[in-house]
Amino acid sequence: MLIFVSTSCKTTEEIAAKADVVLAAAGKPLVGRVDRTEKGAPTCKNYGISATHTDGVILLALADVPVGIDVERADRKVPDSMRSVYNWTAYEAKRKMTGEGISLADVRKGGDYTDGVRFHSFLEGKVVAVAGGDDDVVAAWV
Amino acid sequence: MVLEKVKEIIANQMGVSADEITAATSLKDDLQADSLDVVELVMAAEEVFGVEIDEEAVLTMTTVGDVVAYIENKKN
Repeated sequence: MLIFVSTSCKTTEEIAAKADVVLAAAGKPLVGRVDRTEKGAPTCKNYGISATHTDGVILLALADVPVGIDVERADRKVPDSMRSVYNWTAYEAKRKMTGEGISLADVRKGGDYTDGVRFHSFLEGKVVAVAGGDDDVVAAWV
Repeated sequence: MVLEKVKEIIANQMGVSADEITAATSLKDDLQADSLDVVELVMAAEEVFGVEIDEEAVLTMTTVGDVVAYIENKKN
């Protein structure tokens, strides 16, 4: 699974274009055109794809299976029912992986959504949660 | 007045001045509100106005004016 990180790109399309430079060099399939689902989630032909951004940094996750990624500042306030930023990002990542998007009802109900979600700490002061994808992660700054 | 209170809630959540907000202000485009911001705004509005905001309705709200219209509708 690949995670691309950028502080210069502003949109999913921009970071996907940069990712394609790396993918081409590595002889791997390209992201190519990024389409959107009705809910605005990115899709592409060759990969399970998900993107997220906060505070000037954008991340793009590419995997051979559905994947969802979410990033938030670690000091971000979340509703009490959602308990913590970790739990919030875990929930978002899962809902992005399935393509469903967040549900207010779930947020109101709250609960522990961290099961099966992996957290990454390569961005200082930020929580990165990934649902789906696979355990073999390569992260690249573009 | 609903608009004034909504502006206050948004100003609080987004860290901007209420004076910068109008009914035409787009939550996502002008204020860069993300999904967590929208959730916090909805829950704050529900508390302040004592209404429950429908999930489907949230998806259609793009501007401050949309939020105000929905709340005014619900209260009547």
